[in-house]
This record gives sequence, structure tokens and C-alpha cells, in this order.
Amino acid sequence: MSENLAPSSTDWNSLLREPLVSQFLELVPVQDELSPQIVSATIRQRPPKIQSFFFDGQPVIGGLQKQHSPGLVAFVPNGSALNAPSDENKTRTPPKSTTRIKPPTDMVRIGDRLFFLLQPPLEYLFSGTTVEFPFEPFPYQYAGVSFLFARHAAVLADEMGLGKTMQAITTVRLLIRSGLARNILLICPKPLVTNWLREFRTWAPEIPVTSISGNQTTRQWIWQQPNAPVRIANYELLTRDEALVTAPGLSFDLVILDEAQRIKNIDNATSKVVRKIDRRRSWALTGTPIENSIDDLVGIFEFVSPGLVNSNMTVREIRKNVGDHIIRRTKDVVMNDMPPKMIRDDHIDLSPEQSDTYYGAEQAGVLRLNDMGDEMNIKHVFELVLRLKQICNFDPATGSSSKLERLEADLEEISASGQKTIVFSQWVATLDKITEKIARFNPLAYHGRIPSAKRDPVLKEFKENPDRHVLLMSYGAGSVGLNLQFCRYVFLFDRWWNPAVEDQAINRAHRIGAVGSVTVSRMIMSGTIEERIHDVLESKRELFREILSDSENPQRQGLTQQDIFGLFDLRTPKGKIVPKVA
Amino acid sequence: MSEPADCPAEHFAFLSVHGIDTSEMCGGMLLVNSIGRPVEFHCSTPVSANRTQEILYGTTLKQFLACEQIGASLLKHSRKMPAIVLIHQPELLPLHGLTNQPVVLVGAAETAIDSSWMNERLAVPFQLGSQQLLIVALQPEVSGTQKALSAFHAALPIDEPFERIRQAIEEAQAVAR
Repeated sequence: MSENLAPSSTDWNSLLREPLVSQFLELVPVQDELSPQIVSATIRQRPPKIQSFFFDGQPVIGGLQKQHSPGLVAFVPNGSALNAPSDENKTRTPPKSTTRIKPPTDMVRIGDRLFFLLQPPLEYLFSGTTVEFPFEPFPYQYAGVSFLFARHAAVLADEMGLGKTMQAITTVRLLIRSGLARNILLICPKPLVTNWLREFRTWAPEIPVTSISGNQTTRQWIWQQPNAPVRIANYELLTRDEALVTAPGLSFDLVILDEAQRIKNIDNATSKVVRKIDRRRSWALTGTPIENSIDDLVGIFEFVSPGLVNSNMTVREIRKNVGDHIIRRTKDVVMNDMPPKMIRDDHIDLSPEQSDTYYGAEQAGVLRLNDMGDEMNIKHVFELVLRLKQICNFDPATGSSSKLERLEADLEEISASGQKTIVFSQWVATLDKITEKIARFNPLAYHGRIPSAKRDPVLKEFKENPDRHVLLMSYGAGSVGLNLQFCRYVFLFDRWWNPAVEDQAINRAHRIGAVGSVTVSRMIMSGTIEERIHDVLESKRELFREILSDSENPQRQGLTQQDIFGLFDLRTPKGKIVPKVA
Repeated sequence: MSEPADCPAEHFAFLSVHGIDTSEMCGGMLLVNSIGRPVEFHCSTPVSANRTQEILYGTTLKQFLACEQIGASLLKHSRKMPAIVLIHQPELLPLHGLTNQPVVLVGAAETAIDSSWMNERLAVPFQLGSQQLLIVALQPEVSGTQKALSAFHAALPIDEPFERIRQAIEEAQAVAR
């Protein structure tokens, strides 16, 4: 460059005309040092996509409003604390475990699934709302409610005695309170209608329940009532009312079949009618969904979810298809959740024949006692009580017996499940009558008229022969000294005077070494002397529990003479008869 | 706070971020009414940091992703204004700077409080049953927030909705797969 720029006094101007390119290139390195390369990177990034679900329009599960201040135990035993002023800072009794509603697998829309999944646990669903329960359900019962609640097609197949009725009623209550169901039909065997009504009063007292009965005009009127949240019909009636129950315009949010094994044969008339009922949800309750073959289950599912399974499917296919729609728990499985002995009071209505005889005998007997005036003593009253109790068992003229019908229905289920049962009565004559009527269950008898030498072989036969499902025992012979802990069910066909004797009888089955929990059914005829005796005994038990809660020993709780007199309103023109106490 | 302190709080937002200790996070926000019933649910797609963010945010990366990326987006999508935003992860505490509502950390027993970012807000510990809470709110809001939390806790454990969010996110992810 210096050569190029060699001074020439005359040619400096030409130098200026030299291209400057080379000079410029030489400057580049200098420029790099002054301005380093810039690397830019984005720190912020686009926000993530958000998927939103809104439940404003959805029903509020468990209750629409907050009627009481929070702070109540979710399930209030006997409602005792219900009206107590609650303190917001009061510590809530936390449930031992919690149960979430899980959506069924066939629920496809994610929004629907999340709606159920995002509900609080069932144990808290009633929080802050006015709800009474007689006692807190067991955890497995919460699970059953959770299962039913989210399902349109469901079979609750718990073993007998685990509270299918309570679980169904509680779920119905939840559905109604949530506005998810307003029109529910429950169908059950005729002898169980009164039982369902009673259970509804216990578990859902605020829900109006209508029993469909009466002549055709009355029934038609009931079927057409638009504002009956729960209606109960019996299977026998359903076929007669087919036209009414399947009439256009009559639709149910939910139809529940109790003892759903009744429809296991898809060709029978009842099955055909129930399948025709217009409904959104279909539930079946049964302790024996499969009695003989897989067809039984197929028959039930033809109502619950038509077409889901068929008889040509393999067992594996059927199992896979019904898996999400059926729940079954046995006492063995839920043993930790429940007391080992469950007492069930079966309140049964007299048959029409029994009713006529019973009330005739009671009226005549009371008149006779009143006529006796001061001559009347405890023996006279006792005779009347015995007479009435016998009528409660069987109508002497016709042999009609609602108790027996109920017993037979229960024995069907128990023997189908392979379990064994003891039936107690205070009379051998009653046991003989039962033996005759339930011959198909291969019963054995054990009472005072059985010679001593034959008694042990009877027990051995009962224990070892799987075809022997029923043992009929008298309180006198069977209440002490026997170990029958392989029996899971005990029926008190009639009631003994003293609960201690009943307890001893029950303890034949419910004792150390018992194979599982024991269900005791105390059969009580509604509106009769049996119910009055029951009430007296229970009030004594209750009193005993209140005073000595640690020890429930009913040894001295039998009926006193005053109790027996008090079973009737005995009066003379002079006024109420006061018994002479011996 | 959108609602005066003496009015019962109508809605509570429970916000949770899953995978907060992993490289990919996603969040869920459940808006419930005063007795815990679901009103809205929002969930985010997974978010992960790029290399630059990792370098530049350093130890504050989790807060950046959980609060600014996920939390703020979730809050924006709520139709109903929650009275309180409840969290159970300390990493979400900076959310108080992204919302006008009081932010409450549930299960705050072990949380060290850095008051440098508080501005005019207070961090007030609050014992609710066996739960230790930390309320980050303006002075006038604290009392109302405590009342609302007590009322809610009487109906439902204050930490219960977080479990619902966890299950709902899993359900949503399972459906997405």
C-alpha cells in the first residue's frame, strides 16, 4: 500500500481515485473485535394449552343447598346431633376411610367422567346438608353406593345379609337429592314390599314412597301419578299391570329389580314385562346372580344391559363384558368391616286368612278376659298370647303363613349359595308344619320329641351332608350345648319370651370357630302380639344398653307379668284392669 | 379479594402441579363451591423447560414453569372468580404476584418464608385442625380468609381436593394417550 501511495506531487489526485476496497478489507478484523456476534434465544415460551370443563349446569350431588352450618358428622347416627348448633371451628370426625365415585368404563366423554371423579368422597357428600341415617354405613356399603351411583346398568350381587337394600336406598336417595332421578320404580317379591317400605322409612325418611296395590282403578291412578319419586310394585302384580306399566308416556329414570333372579329365564312373563318398561337406568339386586347356569346371568343382563352378553359367549367373554357392571362382596371378604353377627328384623304382614283368624281371635279373647273381671289372672292372658302367636305362625284353618313364604324365599337363596340354616320355633307342631312345607330343602329336625339316641346322628348328618341345608330346632332342645358354627344363617320363626334364650339359640351358630359372620333373622308379624312383644323386649334391651353399655347380658330381661298384661288394653266398665301380680 | 371479607366465600380454587420434580410438568385447577362440589376444572398440557431456560432460571426454574407458565394460565381460564387460591406446593407461592386473590399454602409446616417478595402482602401462619397453613394476603383480607377456610374445612378436609386433581389429571392423561 505504501508503494501505491508513493508521493508524487503531481499525481496525488490520482491516488484518490484508487479503489478503496483493499483498505476496507483490512479494517474487518478490527471491527470484529469491537462488536462480538450476538446469539439470541427465546426465554419465554407460549403458555401451555388449557383444557377446561365446566359443571355449573350439572346437578349438585348429595344435596342442593347447605341447610345447616357445616360441622356435622357426615352421617349423623339417629339424627341426634342434627339440630344441634354447629360450630364452624368444631373438629369434624374424620371417616376411617373414604370412597370415591368412579365412572364406569363405558362412560366415554371425558367431561362426564371427570364430573364423577371430581366429586368429594361419598363420606363427605352429605356434609352440611340435613341428612339422617340410623347408623353409619360400613366402608363396603359406601363402595356399593359409589358403584351404583355412577352406573346406568348395574347388578349389586352382594351375599345375603350385607345390606343390598340399604345400599340401593341410599343411592336412590343420593340420585333424588341430586336431581339425577325423579321417577323410580322398584320391583320386588310381594312378601318383601313391606320390608322395602320399612327400609325406606329408615334410610330415606324424607323420600315419599308409594306402594302399588289395590284394585285396578287404584293401581292405574298410582301408575299415572306424575309426582311419585319412588314406586314399589311386586312381580306378581306387574304381569297384570303390563299395559299400565308399559303405557306410552310412562318412563322411569331408574328401575330396580330386587331378587332379580326372578327374571333369569328370559322367556317368563315377568322377564318380558320388565324388559319392556321404558327406563334410563336399570339395576338388579340379587344374592345369587347365577343359580344354575350362566344363562341366569344372561337373563338378568337382558334387563340390565340388553345385548351385552349372550349364552353363546365363553365364560371369559361374559366375565369381561359384565365386569364393570356387577359388584359382589361376601361376608368373608368384608369381615373386617362389619360385626360378626348381624341381626335382621323381618317385619311381615299377616296373610288375609291369618289376618281374619287373628283379629277375630284377639277380639274374642280380649272380650272374654274383660268379662272375667277380677277373676282374670296371668294364666288366662298367657293362653291368649300363645293362641295369637300360633296364628302368627300358621292360620289353623287353612295353613296359610306369610312367615313361611318369607322363609321359603330366603331359603332358596341360602341353599343356592350352599350355606346352612337353623330355624328356631318354640313349638314342635310348628316345626313339623315347616318340615312338611319345605321338604324340597331336605330339612332335618332336632327337638324334644327326637329320641336322645338319634339326636347326635341328626347333627352329624346336617354337618356332613351338603344336601342338608336346614335344621329345624326347638328353643328347648337346641338352645344350649350345641356347636353349629358352620351355619351362617339363623331364623327365629317365632320369638321366645326371653332374649337370653334367643341369644343362646343364636350362639349355636355364632361362636368361636364360626366359619364367618352369622345373619340372624327375627321374624315378626306386623301389627300383632309379636310386634308388641318385640317392642317390649327391645325397650328392655335398649335400657340395659344405656345403663350397662359394656355388658349386654339379657338374663333378666324376660317379660314380666305386667308386661304380659300390658300387651292388651284390658278394661271393664269400672276402668282399666290392674293385674294381680303373683 | 373479589368478595368482601364478611361475605361467605363462594368458590375456592385448588391448584396443583404434577411432575414438579421432573422435567415435564402439567397442572390442574379445581374450582369448587363452599361445600366442595366441583364447579370448574382446568388442566394444562405438559410443559418442559428448554436448555436456555434451564441455564438462565437456575434454581428458580420450577417456580417459573409452575407459576408463570402453568399457574397463571390456569387462573386465566377460570370463569368464576375464586375467593381464595389454595396450593399445596411451596413452589407455587409466587402465584400471589399473579393474582389478586389471597394465596394459601396448605401443609406449610416446613416451609421457609422468604418475605422479600411479599411487597405489601403478609404471610400469616394459620392452624386449621391438624393442618398448618400459610396465608399470603393483604392485611384486611386475612381475617375473612381465615373464616372462609374454617367454614370450608368444617365440611371437607382442606387438603382433600388436591387428591381429586391428581386423579383427574391422571384420567385426562389416560384419555389423551
